[in-house]
Amino acid sequence: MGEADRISSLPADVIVSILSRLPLKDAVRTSALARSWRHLWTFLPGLRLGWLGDPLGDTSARPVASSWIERIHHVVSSLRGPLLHFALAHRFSSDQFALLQRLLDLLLQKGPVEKLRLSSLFERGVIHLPSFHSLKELQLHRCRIVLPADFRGFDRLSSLTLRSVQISNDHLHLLINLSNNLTTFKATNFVALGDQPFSIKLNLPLLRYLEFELDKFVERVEVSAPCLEQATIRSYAYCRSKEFALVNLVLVTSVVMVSSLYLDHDVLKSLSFAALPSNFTFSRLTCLELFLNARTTDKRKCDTFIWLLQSMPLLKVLNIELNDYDYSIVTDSVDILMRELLLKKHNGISCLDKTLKCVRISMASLNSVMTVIALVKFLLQNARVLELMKVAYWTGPEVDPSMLEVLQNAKVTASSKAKVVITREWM
Amino acid sequence: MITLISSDKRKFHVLEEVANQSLTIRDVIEDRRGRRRADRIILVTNINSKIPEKVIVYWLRHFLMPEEIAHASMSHKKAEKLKKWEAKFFDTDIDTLNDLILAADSLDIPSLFDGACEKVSDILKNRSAEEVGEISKIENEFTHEEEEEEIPSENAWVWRNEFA
Repeated sequence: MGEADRISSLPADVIVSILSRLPLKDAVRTSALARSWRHLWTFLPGLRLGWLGDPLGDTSARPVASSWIERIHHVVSSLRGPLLHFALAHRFSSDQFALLQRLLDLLLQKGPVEKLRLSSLFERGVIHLPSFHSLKELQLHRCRIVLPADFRGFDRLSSLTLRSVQISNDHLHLLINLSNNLTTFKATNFVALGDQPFSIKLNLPLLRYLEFELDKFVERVEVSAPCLEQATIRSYAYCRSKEFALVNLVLVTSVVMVSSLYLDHDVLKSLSFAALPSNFTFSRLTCLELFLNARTTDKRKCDTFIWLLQSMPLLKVLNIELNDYDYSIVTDSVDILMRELLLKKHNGISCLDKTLKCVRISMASLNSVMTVIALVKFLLQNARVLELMKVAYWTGPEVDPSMLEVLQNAKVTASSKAKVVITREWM
Repeated sequence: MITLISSDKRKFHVLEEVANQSLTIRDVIEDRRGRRRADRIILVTNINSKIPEKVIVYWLRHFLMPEEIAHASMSHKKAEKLKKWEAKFFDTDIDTLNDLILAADSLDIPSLFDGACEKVSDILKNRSAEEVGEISKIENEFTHEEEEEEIPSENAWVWRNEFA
């Protein structure tokens, strides 16, 4: 044997970290490699099972066989090291939930589980979430959750993600507000257990990142998060926005301290600022992302836009994404959208005078630049320190000469440094 | 500028900002800040000269493309380019990968460690124990009994050809 076996000379923890990247079956098979490898796999720090990596999972898949759950049960009980993370995405049939529950209870004994991810459990069965005391990261997706009766919060939990989770309003409150160390909270598409829509009060002293989707199951949201740095607030695509006026106001007033904010069209439209003090500002915000729906033209949206600029004295980067996939309609609604902007005089918008350096407008087709041309003109004419105005698109023909002309004509810039760039980008 | 010395006594001069990608080196530099020049030499034992060369190439590529940028505003094109570059970088024999893993482990360079481990696991994926043994030159010293009875019975399902 001339050549040396180099892989076995790696430290055991390094080998285990290679094993943890293998499919479970392959990892277990390495027990037949050599005596020193016999039990290495039993020190796997975690297990990832099912369709992970595929966020939606295979919805057509049949539930797993009960023997599969037994097998995993056996694997988990053979592990000798601490089990730090566990991820499972599989469909289960209703009668298998007892087995699944037994598996979760075993995880609790094995622990200390720090990262837990359960997704796509589909069927009607309810998961009773055991009290994983060491949990730092919890991701739940497409499942029904019930908390233990003596739930006292996850003390160490720093990241919580809930997507399409069915949970009762009370339990949701317990889960969030008893987890004092949360720094990241992402929630989309709740489904209420029971008839009452959610009324959510978040009181999170350490929260820094919030992603929240408003939908018909959410009636009211109040956030108290003094450390919040970044917020993304969008509304569920098919919901009418007028129902949310109140929600958004409360939510937005509590994100005053963020440095990066993402608002989508419907939130923007229903944003009511009448009740805010006149000197209200987002005192740290440097980056604003807006998602505009090109189909709707609305005077109020224009006012809101100006109000946002006025209330963001440090704004440096403005990203606007135009939802214009259906651009046959877009081209009809040419430019009424922001024409209002040009008619009025706007003085004393601090960010336009002093800080706004980069504007990026992206859209599916350059044709729809017509809908925002007034906006482009407005920014070029008023932003005095602008350095870059980038218009990006990703379908349709290469730059249409007539569009170029329109943009060239718009190029009466207030800032001597401003560059206008039109690019076709690869998605 | 700091100097790395490999186990076969070759010297490598690297900009501090570049070598900073190793958390181990960053700590050492931090400890020795303000001291004489001679102290800015770091011995890298257990690593032959072929590996520092590769590590430095990796550093330089990533130095030009810091991860924060990669995360926030890097265009898809650039991300794709970097991905292709990494695929080529890690497309090497298993011994070199082993050494890279060792180097990344001792120098604490998480992205290099992850990339190299990922590649090794790709090589070992979906293979029988015999094949893995052959690729990695691991010598099997099991007794006949262990091999024929004990091991196969422990987790019987992994030896069958079915969906796990």
